[in-house]
Amino acid sequence: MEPVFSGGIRFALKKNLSAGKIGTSPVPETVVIPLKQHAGAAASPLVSAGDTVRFGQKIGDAEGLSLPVHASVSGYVEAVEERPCVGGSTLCVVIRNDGFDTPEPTLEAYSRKAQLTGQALRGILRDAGIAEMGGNGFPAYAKLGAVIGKADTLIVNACEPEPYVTADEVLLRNHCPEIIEGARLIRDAIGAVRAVIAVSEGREEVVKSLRRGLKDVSDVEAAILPDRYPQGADKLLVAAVTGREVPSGGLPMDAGCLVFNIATVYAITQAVYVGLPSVERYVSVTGEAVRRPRNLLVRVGTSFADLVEACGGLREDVRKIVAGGPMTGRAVDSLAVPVTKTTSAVVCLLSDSAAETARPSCVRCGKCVDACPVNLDPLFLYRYARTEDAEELKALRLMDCIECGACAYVCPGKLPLVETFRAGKKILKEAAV
Amino acid sequence: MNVNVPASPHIRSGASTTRIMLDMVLALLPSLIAGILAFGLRALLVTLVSVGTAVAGETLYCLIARKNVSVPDLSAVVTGLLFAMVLPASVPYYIVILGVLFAVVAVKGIAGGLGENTFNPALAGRAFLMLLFPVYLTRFAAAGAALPPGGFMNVDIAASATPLAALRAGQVPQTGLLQLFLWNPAGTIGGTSAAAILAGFVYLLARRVVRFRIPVAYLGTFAVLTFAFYRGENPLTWMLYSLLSGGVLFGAAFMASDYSSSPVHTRAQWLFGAGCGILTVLFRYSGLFPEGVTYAILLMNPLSWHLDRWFGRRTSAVRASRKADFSDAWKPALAVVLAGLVLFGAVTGLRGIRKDMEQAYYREVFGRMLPGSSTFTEIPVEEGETGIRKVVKGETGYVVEVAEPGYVDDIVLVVSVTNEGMVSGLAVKSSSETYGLGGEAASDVDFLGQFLGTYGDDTGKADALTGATETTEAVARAVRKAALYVQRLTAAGEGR
Ligand code: SF4
Ligand code: SF4
Repeated sequence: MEPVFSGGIRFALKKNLSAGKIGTSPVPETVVIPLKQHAGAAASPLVSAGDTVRFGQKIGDAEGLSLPVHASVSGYVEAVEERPCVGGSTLCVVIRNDGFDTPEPTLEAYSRKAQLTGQALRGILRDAGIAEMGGNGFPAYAKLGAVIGKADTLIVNACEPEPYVTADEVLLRNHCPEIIEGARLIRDAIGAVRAVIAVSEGREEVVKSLRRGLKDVSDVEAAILPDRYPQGADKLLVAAVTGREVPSGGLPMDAGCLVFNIATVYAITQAVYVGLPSVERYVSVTGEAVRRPRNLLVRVGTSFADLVEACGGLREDVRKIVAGGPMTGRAVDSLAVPVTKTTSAVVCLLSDSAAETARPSCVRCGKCVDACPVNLDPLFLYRYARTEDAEELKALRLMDCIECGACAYVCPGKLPLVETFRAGKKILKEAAV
Repeated sequence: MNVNVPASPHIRSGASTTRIMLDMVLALLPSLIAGILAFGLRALLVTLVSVGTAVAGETLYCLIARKNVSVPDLSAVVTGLLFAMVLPASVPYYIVILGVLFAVVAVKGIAGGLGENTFNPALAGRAFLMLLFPVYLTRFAAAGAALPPGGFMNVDIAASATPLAALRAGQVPQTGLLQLFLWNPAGTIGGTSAAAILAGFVYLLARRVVRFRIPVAYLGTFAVLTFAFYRGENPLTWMLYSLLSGGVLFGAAFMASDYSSSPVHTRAQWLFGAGCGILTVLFRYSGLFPEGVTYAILLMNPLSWHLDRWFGRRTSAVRASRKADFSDAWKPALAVVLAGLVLFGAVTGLRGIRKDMEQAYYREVFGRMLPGSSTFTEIPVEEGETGIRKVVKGETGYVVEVAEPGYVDDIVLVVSVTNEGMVSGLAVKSSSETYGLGGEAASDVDFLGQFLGTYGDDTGKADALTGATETTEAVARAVRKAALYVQRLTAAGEGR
């Protein structure tokens, strides 16, 4: 495959802990559904304590760049209150599960044969509350709406470069026909000519499943990309698949591409063909501290504790719990937090190799420069972010940083690089105002 | 549940600063062992003093500056080791202590600690000593000379000419090339064996610790230039001798590639290495400095930051495009001019101090050679004289430094001659006659003593007493030359 990005890293992926293993979905007694699971404005609650809700019922919505939130079980609303979530306390709708999954009657599927226009699909995505499920939770309808008639390539991102996480693999292995169907649907709706499903060559089973699925398919392509972290990043994916460059500070659409995570594509097919809003997803519950690592199909709002319970529980000596992959996910200090639309994994680690050292200092070894997949100089960025030198940060293209953590991973000085870069981006934004 | 909740990433590779420094220590071990085998216990003691002082100095500095003590990262150990490796084993301990303190406190500590220093600490320490005590750093102990582990060294007696000295005089050294590669104990502690240096370097390569482009560019440029501007008969021989003599190999492998003081970008590293190579050749050929490596690397050090800026900045996330931006080139240019001025000032200032020290030294040493004299002034050597290097006038006579070609290299004698023309004192300043015939003559007190009280023309005495060898004859010729020179001077004075 060419072109390949320079930099990046290889490491032990540890995906075999959970790969190919699917566990029974936990049935939560209560679900805690955050009203903000996506990028953009938080949804306002449409229900209050004591209300009865049905499965799939809209329980929150908002105007502008935002998404509605749906009940992932049927039952009654216990409370609408702040609860601890990944990334801090958030207003949540707490629903006691009655176990019947009584569906909301307005849910309906579209006919498979009908050709959807871009605007129609955009409407479905908004109503179904679909957020980009592999990344920052950007509303899928907004992403799609911006490229109708403007992009020629749809890329389905199934690279899943994070160690441990195998939730996307499950989709390719078990739902390949739906994914292919979804790719066609989106491609045609936005008026693109190519649909490409990108996977990493390091995952043989996944590559095999995709090849098998595409055997008699001529209008959807496979891109088997080198096994290097972080191959799934949008800019790198666009370059690898189309050879085009996303301009500095730009988006894939500036290079005529729409990139959707495979979980998002699956959610879209569920919304279109089943009429199901975004209320469940596959989550990898894995890491050395989990007794029986597995992938689970989980209702949004299920607590991490329920997930871990369904996987045999945690070992006593767990040192770190991460929502998402260990390179870019967020650490949590409580299992009470709920799964959201963007929770791809719960990774429980026994050792903390990223523990801070007493005296982080840069030896100028330059390893971070070699590791950065987007050609940045992390050591200089770090220096200027510390001195809050907006001019230099801009010249060094800090805004291009995808916060992949490759630099911090290799850094022998154990500098808090990514953290500092986030702060640096704030400085840049303020300076721009 | 006792879990950590820091920012991402939540896993890291096993790489650590301490591990890198440990690799450096391991890579320097072969050179250290070679040095100890060559120069004995004193080489080990010099190294221990250097490392110990580096660690103690860094600890103290961190405590005083209220920083976390950085000793566990082993970088002070590496600085101490590197520093010892570029010293001759005969150097006095207090000089070692002074130099290494300068390195860890002034060069590294005040700059902000590990990774923040512009200059290579070990080399800066060495340069600092070269300004203050040039003699101790450029006189090298003879091969296998029994160096006393304690006390001060009389450098004049221990002195031996290195192959580098021969090169500087435009001659190919006598030592065989293979010998020079494997075992050449005539310089610094760490420069004893090129093979040992290479072994350490290969280890660093295997561990992916070293910036290999810098040494490759450095030695490559150096080799090409010495090949192109060869002296003697064979360019290849000249090039190989140049590579294996002096500190260029050690400097390229362990000093120029130092993380803190060299660039991080590929292109900048190639250029940095090439710059070191060019400057080293320039310094060696111009004779500006006894050994160009230290100053070449130190001059390139402050450029590394700019080289990274000029040639390193990449403009695209996915393409390998770069933008060379020289808009700030005036800054380093200004810095170089300023550094030049400071250096000039320092050298001029130090010259005054050196003059005083010289007078004291003259009084001490020459006073014994020329009884009755207490003030000494250097007077110019008359034109057309070959071999007379320096003449110092005292009240009762003259002290003459005279060089005479010996079996291997020039023998340099210091001869004192009274106003009456009588040889009153004699010392050997430098001689390589260690493996040649009559090598002992150069330091044999009985042999030298026989010239005292003569008028230089009394050469029969020398011939009679010792078997005439090239060396003894050279010494006799030198004494005669000195005596005749003074006799002519005084005669001219009387005539006036
Ligand atoms: S976190 Fe940013 S600077 Fe670091 S490697 Fe990733 S993109 Fe480069
Ligand atoms: S990897 Fe870490 S120690 Fe090395 S240059 Fe980059 S920031 Fe500095």
